[in-house]
Amino acid sequence: MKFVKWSAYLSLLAAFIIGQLNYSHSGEERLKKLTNGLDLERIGIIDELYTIKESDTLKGYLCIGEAQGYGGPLKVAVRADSVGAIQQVDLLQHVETFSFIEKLRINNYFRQYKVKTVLDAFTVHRDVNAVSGATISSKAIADATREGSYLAAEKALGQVAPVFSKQWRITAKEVLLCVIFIIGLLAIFFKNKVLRNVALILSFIGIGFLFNASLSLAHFGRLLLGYVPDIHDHLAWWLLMGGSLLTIIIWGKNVYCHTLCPFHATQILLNKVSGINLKIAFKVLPIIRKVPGFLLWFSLSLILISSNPTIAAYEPFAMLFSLEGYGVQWYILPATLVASLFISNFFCHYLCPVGATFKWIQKQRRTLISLFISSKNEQNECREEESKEKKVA
Amino acid sequence: MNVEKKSPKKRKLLENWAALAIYLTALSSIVVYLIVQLLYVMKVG
Repeated sequence: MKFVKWSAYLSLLAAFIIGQLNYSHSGEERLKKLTNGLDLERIGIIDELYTIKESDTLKGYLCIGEAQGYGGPLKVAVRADSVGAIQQVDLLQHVETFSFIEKLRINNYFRQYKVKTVLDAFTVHRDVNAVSGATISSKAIADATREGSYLAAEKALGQVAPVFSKQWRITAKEVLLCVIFIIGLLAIFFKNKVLRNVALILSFIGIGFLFNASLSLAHFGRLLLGYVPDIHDHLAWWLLMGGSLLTIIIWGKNVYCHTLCPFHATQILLNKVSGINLKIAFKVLPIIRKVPGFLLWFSLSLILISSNPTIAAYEPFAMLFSLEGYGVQWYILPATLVASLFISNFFCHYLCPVGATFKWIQKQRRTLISLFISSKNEQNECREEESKEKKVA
Repeated sequence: MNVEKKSPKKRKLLENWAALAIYLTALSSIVVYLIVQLLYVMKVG
């Protein structure tokens, strides 16, 4: 068993290394396509800034900006003419959920940049229109465009770019998340069922339908890949992810799964509606209980090898609350919802990778604590023996 | 009489099988999804 466990850890490490080696080269081919065969010459040593030339005549500049999106970092190529008017903005590299990017393309999100200059502020909701349902990606692209544009303005055109200071983004989403989290914490602390139900109902409405911000494997994938989002823009992410992890590490309690998960609330509701609770045979349960761990390992391997946190997040949470997905994902949602009708907490018990991750963290915590206690006990025993020996002497 | 005694057992067995079938259906949809994603990762490189 230990061999299997360590093989899994080592394979994840290997996947991470392969993913990191591949990731750094993946954007260059796309860059060549963007300039339609014109000559590109890099002028920035550290910064990704290029001149675009056609038979030695300067046609403009191409610069790359980077920002944190929903899934992780994304790179945007900004093409400007020789006086600083933006000609084209395109997504060069990203790890966003495909449906978000599709939404941006369908709504012609990138077209609005063609009337801008490299000195614009690119503030979402003011200078740039965000696409509803893909707001985080819209904002990340605007941020990346700003970074790239200001780079071109200062380093290539010799202009002074405006100073852009980061501001805390505190909206109704962050406030409601904070309230739900506190209610969830109190419910676990006082073991109060009423508070737990209140937290679940609020999370079903708020975290589920209003904001669609459930924790998924993509969140853990981001952490493992080092794609930690900026706290100013992604306070909700930090509240939910940081709060859930901290309560497990410090307190040992899984607040998220029991009181905050909107999909958990959905399953309870569905099971109450049907009133049926089928049980899986005890004989096969030991095998079935290992499945979430296996799925977690497989998904994490895919995430690490592709350096894309959203690629293998198979949970139907986001799909349920937004009714957006693609391909095979449409089979997972009905299958799990029907199963939840007949089997109590079906997804949580038998398939959830988020629950499996939290369980793994709890297990490591327990192991560390027991190791610490046993070493303390050993030290105490040694001291007692020493004192006894001294007394005898 | 024998049939009456066995029926709760049979019912439980049937329920177990039904639960297992539901579980396997959901699991297979996830496995198919992950395999599709694996093929995509392999194709993209």
